[in-house]
Amino acid sequence: MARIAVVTGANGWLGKTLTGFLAEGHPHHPGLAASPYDEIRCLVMQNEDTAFLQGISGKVRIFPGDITSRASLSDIFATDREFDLYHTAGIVHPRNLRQFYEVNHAGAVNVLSKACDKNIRKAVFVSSNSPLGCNPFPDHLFDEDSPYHPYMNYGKSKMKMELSVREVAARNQVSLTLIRCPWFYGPNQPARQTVFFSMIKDGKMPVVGDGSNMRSMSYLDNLCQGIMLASQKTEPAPDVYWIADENPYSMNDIVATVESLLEQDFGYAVQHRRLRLPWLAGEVATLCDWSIQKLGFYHQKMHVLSEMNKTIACSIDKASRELGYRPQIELREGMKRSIQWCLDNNLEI
Amino acid sequence: MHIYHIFSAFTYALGRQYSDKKNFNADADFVYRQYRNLPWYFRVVFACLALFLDLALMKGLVPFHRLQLRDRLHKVERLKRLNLGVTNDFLTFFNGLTAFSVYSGPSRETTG
Amino acid sequence: MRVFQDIVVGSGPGGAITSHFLKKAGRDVLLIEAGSRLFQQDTVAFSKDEMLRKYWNGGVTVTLGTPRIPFILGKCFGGGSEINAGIYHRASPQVLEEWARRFQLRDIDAASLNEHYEYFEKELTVSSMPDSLIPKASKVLAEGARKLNWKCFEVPRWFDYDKAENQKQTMSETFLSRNIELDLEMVFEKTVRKLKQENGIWRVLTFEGDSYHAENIFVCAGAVQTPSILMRSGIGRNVGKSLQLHPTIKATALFDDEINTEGMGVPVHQVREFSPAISLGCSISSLPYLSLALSEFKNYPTFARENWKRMSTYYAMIRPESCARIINIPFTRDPVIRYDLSDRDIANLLFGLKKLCQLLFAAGARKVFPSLLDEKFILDSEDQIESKLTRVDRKLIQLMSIHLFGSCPMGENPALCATDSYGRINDREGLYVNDASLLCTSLGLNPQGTLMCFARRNVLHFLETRGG
Repeated sequence: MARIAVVTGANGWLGKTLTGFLAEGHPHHPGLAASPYDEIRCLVMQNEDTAFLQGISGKVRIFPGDITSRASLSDIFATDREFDLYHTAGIVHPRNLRQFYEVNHAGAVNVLSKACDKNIRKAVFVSSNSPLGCNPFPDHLFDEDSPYHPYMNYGKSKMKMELSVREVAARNQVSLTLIRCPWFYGPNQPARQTVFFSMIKDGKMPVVGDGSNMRSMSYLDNLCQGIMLASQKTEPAPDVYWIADENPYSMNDIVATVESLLEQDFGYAVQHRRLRLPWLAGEVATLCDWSIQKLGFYHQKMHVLSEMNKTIACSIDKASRELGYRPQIELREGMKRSIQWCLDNNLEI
Repeated sequence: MHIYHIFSAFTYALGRQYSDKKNFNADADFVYRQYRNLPWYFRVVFACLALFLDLALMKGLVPFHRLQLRDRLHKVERLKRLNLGVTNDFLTFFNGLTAFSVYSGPSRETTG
Repeated sequence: MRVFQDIVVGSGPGGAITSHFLKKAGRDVLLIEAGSRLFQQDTVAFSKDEMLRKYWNGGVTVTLGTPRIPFILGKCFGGGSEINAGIYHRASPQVLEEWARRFQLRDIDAASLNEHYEYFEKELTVSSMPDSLIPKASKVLAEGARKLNWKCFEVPRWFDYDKAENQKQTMSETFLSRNIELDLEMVFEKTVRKLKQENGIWRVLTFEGDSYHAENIFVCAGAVQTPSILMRSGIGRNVGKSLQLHPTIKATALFDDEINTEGMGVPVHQVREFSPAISLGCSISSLPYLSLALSEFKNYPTFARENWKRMSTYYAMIRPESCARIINIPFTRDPVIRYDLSDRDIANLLFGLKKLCQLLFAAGARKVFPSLLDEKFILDSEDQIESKLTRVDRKLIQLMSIHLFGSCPMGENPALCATDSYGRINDREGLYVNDASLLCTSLGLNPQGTLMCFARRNVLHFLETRGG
């Protein structure tokens, strides 16, 4: 019998893509080809432009609301039918640190508690790599048993989210899966990702250290595949999976791949330069980022720079073993589609 | 946490001899838990040695446990060639447990 | 304050049997175990998990001395009986005669001991392996011995071969299960720190901060922990100075035929041509153990993985003249074990190793990896044995030991013995030792059969004379 899907953060980068797959099915996995939903309820912020979401499918219904306010969530959960909850809402670069906890932690708890009062079948919550921090060395991989070691306030807020929603789910005997995804990429990206392409084109991409540090990345279609496979698992015990592309990429690979795509596939003149910074610069940036955050502020560029020489890589063994997750898109193809999307949407690189 | 990272840097490096898998966390955990099982007097020696080697096997200003695999393998090779009694014991401990663990199969053991 | 009649410290073979007969006699007994309440089916035999959860110190601790010897002790419900191979021997008449003579151990005539031996042989179904189950790796040893005309036996074990699973008749399967049926009180994960006698009542203090009271204490914590507890309690005479080990050297052999299978367990043959000084036998040879055995040969990292079906590990075990000393360090629970092997013991080990290699080649081995820390010792044929294994630096010898006992010998000789002929600590009312610590000298064999025999003998004697 068809169900409802409830998507929070639906108007976000991931939310938009996920809503599309939920409505139409996911072509990369035979088990996901047909959509089990006849209605997709999308939670979006007040006054947001929802034209894109509404254009996806007639199944999509828009519900304005704010996860930090429980009362505003009443409408979207106003149903007696069975539904699956996909929580993708979160904040990465906040105005101040308090927002991290209000949105990522308290907001997530609000959503799940509200949902637990109703006929929820499955909850999938998107978390991040940051509750685990950075890998100690470049060939290390996080797995589902790696211990928490949160990277600053964002990491802490996501860790608190994981712990609290596990507790809420267990108390209400709701099946919950946490999806940990690292840096994702793909269409519908926010402006900061376009800057990333521009920096590479203009030879201003900072590479800290020798650039051999590894990054797991997750192309959105792959990530959505993982999220949707997780939603089919309805064991009562809370569970967690890492979802990313098959293998992590080195920072050098990532930059070189984008460079070559821009040049060869899209005909841009590329500078073939890097803004090379010594390894120590990354460590200094980490220290500055830490100090700034200790004072209760947040500086986006400092934060991003501090992560440039770190390895953040995970193993997807458990997801492929238990969920049958098979990522189909790799770095080159994924980046190509992202750049194409920028061009299609008249974004200047 | 720091000691754990140093231990896992060794385990990840030594584990490559035995398997082409990429995730050696279960093995690193096993080695670390066995280190925790040692009587305290051996534990102190191992901890001091681990901290010392982490700095002694530095490359540039980067400590051993943050080096790339290639550099770590190279450093471990050199350490073996030094052939000092106490570092040999240290490596024998890691090497034996890593081999044992890698071939014990993929599953991570449950506790308690 | 609750005062038990008896507290038994440790649930290994000594403690399991002691507590069983005390409880069966209707006494008020408490059993204290340092390990966890785990049964045989809770871990896979010889696995990583078993190491972590059932071995003392995870099985990774070593004696101090050259060479350092890793030793394995159980730390779990059932103690050593849970993790050993279940190999059964009676003590030889020569050994018992020596105990009577040197240690003045009383009342050990064959007839009275036989009654105890027979009791356990029946209760634990000590039996030979059905021929169809004997692994090829075991038959290889027998084949080599036959060709060389050496004495070789299949060793009986406490196994119930009629059962589909849990064949090994460990303490948790047998006496401890019966204790549970008798409602014996037990506490787990409590390590005894000290014993104190106050106004005729014994107080047992643990590292976890608990204290328990009883009229009699039976310390059955094993050959290392028993003397360690006694020494911490100020009882030091002849305690912990004569710990016996059986230093064991191994050799892993590669054959043409497949001799190893998944879940093979420990093969059952022993070569007794050189007994009691040296015995040769088979070791656990699962892939992880084979890999461990080869891990120091750096040009063979994946050799075991590729060839494990054609490989098996064997040992040469000596009955050494040296004994180890247990040294307590104040405020901590981990004693140091100091063990210096004499040159003669080292020579014996190397002699045993050579004989073992000779046997393996006779049985058709293509390659033998002795447990010596250098690839130059790897043997490709029998004629390399003499040249390669004659002069070996003791630092390069990798040994291990599984049998530990004899740290509190019993008997009436005040110069050597820690207890009287029935395990009572001299001059202490109500304090007994009743585990492998009591065995006076090395047996050259697995001591569990003999330790159980004496444990029953002693506890029945206690019940007859005092506990009636």
